[in-house]
Amino acid sequence: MPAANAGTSEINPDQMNKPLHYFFGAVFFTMPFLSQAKSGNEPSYAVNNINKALLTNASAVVRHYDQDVEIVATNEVTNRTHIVLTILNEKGQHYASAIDFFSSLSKIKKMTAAAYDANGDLLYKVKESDYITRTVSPQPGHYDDNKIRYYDFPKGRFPYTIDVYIEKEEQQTFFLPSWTPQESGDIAVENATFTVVTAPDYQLRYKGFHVADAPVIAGTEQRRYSWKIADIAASPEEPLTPESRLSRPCVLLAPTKFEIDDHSGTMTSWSDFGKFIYELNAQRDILPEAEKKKIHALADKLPDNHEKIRVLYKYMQDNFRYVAIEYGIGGIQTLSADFLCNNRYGDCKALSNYMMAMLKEVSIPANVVVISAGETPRMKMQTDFVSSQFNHAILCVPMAKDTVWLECTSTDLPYNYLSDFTQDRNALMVTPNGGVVVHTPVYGVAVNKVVHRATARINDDGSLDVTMNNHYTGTPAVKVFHATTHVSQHELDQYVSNKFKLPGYQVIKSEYKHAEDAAIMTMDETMDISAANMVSRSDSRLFVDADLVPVGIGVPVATETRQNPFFFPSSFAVEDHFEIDLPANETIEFLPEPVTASYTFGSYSCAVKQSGNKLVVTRTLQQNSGVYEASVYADFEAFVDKVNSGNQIKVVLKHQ
Amino acid sequence: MFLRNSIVAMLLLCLGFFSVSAAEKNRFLKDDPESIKQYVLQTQWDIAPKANAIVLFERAVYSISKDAGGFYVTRTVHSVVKILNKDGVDQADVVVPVGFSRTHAVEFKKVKGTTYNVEDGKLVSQSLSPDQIKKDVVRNGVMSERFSLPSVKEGSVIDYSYQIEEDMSSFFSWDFQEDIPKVYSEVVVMYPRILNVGGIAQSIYAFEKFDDTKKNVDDASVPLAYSGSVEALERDDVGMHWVRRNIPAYEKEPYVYNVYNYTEKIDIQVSGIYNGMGNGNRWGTWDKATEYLYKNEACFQSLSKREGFLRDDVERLTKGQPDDLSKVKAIYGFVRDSFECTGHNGIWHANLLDKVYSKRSGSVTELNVLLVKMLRMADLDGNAVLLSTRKHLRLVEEYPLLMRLNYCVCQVKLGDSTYYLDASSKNIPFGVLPMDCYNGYSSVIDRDNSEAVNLDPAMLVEKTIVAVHTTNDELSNYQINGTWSFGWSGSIRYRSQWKKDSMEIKKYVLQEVKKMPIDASLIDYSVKNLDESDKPLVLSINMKLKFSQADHLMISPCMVRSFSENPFKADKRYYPIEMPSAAVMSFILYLKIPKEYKIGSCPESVVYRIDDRNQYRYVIDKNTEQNTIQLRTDFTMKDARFDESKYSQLKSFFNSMIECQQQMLVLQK
Repeated sequence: MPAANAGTSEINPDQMNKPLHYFFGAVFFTMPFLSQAKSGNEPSYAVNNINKALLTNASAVVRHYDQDVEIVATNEVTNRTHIVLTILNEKGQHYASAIDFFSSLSKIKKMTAAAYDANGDLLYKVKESDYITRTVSPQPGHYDDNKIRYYDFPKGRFPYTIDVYIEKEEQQTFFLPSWTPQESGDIAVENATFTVVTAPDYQLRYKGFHVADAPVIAGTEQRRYSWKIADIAASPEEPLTPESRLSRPCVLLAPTKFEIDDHSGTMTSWSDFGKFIYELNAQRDILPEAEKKKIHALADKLPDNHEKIRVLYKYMQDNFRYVAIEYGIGGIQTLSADFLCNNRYGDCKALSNYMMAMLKEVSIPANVVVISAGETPRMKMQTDFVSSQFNHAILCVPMAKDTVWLECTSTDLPYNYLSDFTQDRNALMVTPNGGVVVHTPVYGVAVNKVVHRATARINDDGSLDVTMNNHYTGTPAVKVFHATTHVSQHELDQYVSNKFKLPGYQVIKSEYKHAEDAAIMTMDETMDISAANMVSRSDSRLFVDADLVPVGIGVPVATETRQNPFFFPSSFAVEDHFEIDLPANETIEFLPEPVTASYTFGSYSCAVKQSGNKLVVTRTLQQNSGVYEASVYADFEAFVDKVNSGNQIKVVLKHQ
Repeated sequence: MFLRNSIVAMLLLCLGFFSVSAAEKNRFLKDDPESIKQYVLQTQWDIAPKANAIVLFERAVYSISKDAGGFYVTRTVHSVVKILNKDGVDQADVVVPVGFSRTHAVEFKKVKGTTYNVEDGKLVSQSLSPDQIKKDVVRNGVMSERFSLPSVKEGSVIDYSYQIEEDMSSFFSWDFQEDIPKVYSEVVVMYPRILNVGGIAQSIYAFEKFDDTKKNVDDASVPLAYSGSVEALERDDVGMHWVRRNIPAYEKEPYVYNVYNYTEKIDIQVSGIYNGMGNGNRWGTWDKATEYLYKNEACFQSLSKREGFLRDDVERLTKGQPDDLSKVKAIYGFVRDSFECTGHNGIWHANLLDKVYSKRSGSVTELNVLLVKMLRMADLDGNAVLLSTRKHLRLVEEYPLLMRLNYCVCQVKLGDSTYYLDASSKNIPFGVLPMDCYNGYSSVIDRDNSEAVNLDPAMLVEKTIVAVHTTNDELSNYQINGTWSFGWSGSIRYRSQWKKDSMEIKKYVLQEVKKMPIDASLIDYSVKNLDESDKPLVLSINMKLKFSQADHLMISPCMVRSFSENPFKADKRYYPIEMPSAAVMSFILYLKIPKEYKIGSCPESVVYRIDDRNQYRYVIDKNTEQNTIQLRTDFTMKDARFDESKYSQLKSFFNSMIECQQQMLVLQK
């Protein structure tokens, strides 16, 4: 993952650009109210002063969020933030911190904080010795120089108010600060301002979300951009709400000319941006001779380029592992192929770079693709705003008739298959000619699919002997793979025993097969189970629950008209086919009616019929990825009801 | 599996000893490329058929020394791990844990690492280079060290070692059993004779006394668990070592609060210094430990001081109270409602009470000690009780392992009754502690009294009653009322949610309506006792039911079920089953059948038992004349902990209960 604040780079003897520090002269910037945290009583902080409408759905209320950014030079940015936040209740307690990050290319120059009671009377000022400074992520296999400085306010008598001031200096302009006064949906905002000051001729770019356009005051000595919001209510906590700061007021900034750790460039276009990334990472693909020999030994005998890529990708998966080393500019500059060859580990961009180097050795050109990975739409790339938005890298190999995509950090995924971490989104391909926006493969319902095939026999004691042959592909298969591969027997036993939402069942036998050569992630599951409580008997009738593999869906009930949109991150489909042998001397008296439902977000069908001496159930369920308007949610609830009632596959048999 | 706790008695007896240097030599076959190569090529170990990695050898030496700055410990660790598949490679990313060091700078020394692979039939080794070792600031000034070994893949053997010097902590521990299996694991503790060192060894085998200087550890006669004394030839120290061989990884199971209560480990504590100043046994027994804390920890010292600033409040709260119980409730209510809890729950470095009082806020320990103090000032028999909470390691009677203490509550005795109170928790009824506090052995802390207290989770009884009855039996407008009376735990949970946001009540109500086996819609609902922590929370819901027009209807009369599925599904169980509390859950139904239908077949009454304390009764009665059905189900579980040997009985009990709940009532036109 690229570091948000890159520090000193590894030694790069082939610097492409000599650094030019663009100084803007002495920029005098005064913001009289933006100073350190207050030190006395502050009656204006009294909780009674908060507009009552802002208390609804809120765990905390921003009283003031004043941020100013001064772009002094292309290698110097000052960022001052003063936040006054009232914590209303226990749910808001986790927001009660003074916190910021820094690295070798940034410094926290000042951090002050204080706490106030509900009347605005000072409770205490935080002492310098109370702040904690430490490595951000001291976790195994992850190395960088990112640090965090923070103070966690202890729980007080609610409501109480914290007052935090942070002044930070960045020595780079590749990543510019952003403004996010409403950090989360359950925080309301009374007042927030954002001011950016630059030299008169500096070309700042910006993109606002849910804010009015910035008035720009152009002067002879400085140019000033300002934004302001007031009285932003919190939104209710609703299930399936897409979490994205871009759905709340925020402003993103980006430079035109920039500098980072003695490297400079421009990012007015994706082409420029990509060119900079390319040049920063170029010349780092020299493989040692011994390694080249190995690569040729593996690939030369194969006639087809696809086969060459496949065998080299397997070589990478079997011999390399993920360790992130991102000191300084290492967040955006790869480790050399030489380093990787020696250590056999690297992060996403280093592994992608290495894979690219191996393919280059056998004359197959490839490109690193930087991408915003994770659950969409939080991670959606803003293609109309050129800036650094990426947290991952994969490899793209354009071929004559198709394109091969490789996730180089995975030791398990099939060749040319991307997981839902990186599927279906815009990303930036980095080429020698610059950056190009591309879209990663979309795996829809044809790929992300589960097919359940089950047959059953009813025993005299009312139990069912069920045999299942279930076939998983795509994302569902990835989940099954991780649950069943390299786990202890006891873990596997617990997995199979808990997997199906049947009233009670015993697993007689289970087997999992991973189709290693399949084009998409594929798992086959075979299971023999004995299911109890599916059949009830009366004097004259047999009541059979024919849902052999329940696939219910659930969602918390909405109590009010929904306000937020809702989303499904991925598409998938389930197809079921069940057959139950009808006992001799039983006839069908009652079969449930077929049920169907179809909407933009999903569809469902379920039908039960007799076929010879069998009861046959066919069912389909499909979910379509996307973001849907709040007004559609009532339809979704109706859909859920229909699915759950359709899944009541209760058949009545009569004794003859 | 029977885990035994044996006291680590660090006596000065030498029951056969070996020297540190001899120990090292005999341990792992270093400098033996052929053996290492065999380990790289080997793909299976009998004790670990499905492991991702296996520890072939590990050894930790804790050596305590003294210099001008005081006592310090040198911890030397050596590990050799075999990577069995791709999911085991993260064993090669090592984080070296460090304690907080005040008087001695933390020094990492002798960090070494080597990866072994076999390439083209030849053993290949690659060393960790110094620039791959990263020091981190973990918190102000305190460091940790991390490194990742190079060229690690399926089949590799990694060998690493390091040494740390830091302030002596009074507590340290060694886990024999972790999430990967181990062929050999050894811990050595060396210390100057003037230190009083003790602790607990948790293992399934008794540590035999055994001298292994002449044996290869692979030799079948070497026991799976053994120990011996250690003598450092260079200086006048003593110590012991423990070895465990062929240890399987621990298992992950539900209904286990902390698996390390059941894994094999050693916890060591420096409990005193024989320096002629009476400190020889500060913490060697529960009596001594509690006496020490009582006299030396600021907050507990308050209990023996005169605290005039509390006098007025005590008098005001107790004046006019009819009896002692009322006085206790008044004082408890005052501390609970007038003071905020900061959320910190450790027992160490708590403040003196005057500070807590003036800030009107304190940690869990501070607030409960304040409560104890005020009770004592009212001449009531109040005591502070130290305990460990359930996700923490359990305290043991055999030895006072103080690192396990993390919570303090109040005990008050009135005649024959004893109450346990936690003034730091809002919303809980009087006389009930937060569920996590019921974790077995606990200790009163007092100058002269370290009375042991057993806070058994079975002391908590979660009593829930749901009653459903017909309010209108007309088929076209069939209505029922369901009333939920929650147990103390459900009351606490829902009370805190529902008081914060009344919309949460409606959400809960709509969920319950959806769960009804017949198509149900909400008419209205009401809540009682929302603000009265000492009473059960009661929810009443009126619903309309829509019957289909079929000639035959099938309804499960058990409309509200405590368990929709068996919580115990796996075949095997390794560890005891820890339930949150005892429970009594009752469901009562009075159903008037619409006149258009009559009762066809009806389920049978039945009782299932694990034993007399744990059973399920399903009693159903049909009245064909009145066309009514009455059902009462009672799930009673008086025990909150079951030995793993009872697992199959438990599983079968729940299966039977769930099957019984599924029974259908048939109505026909």
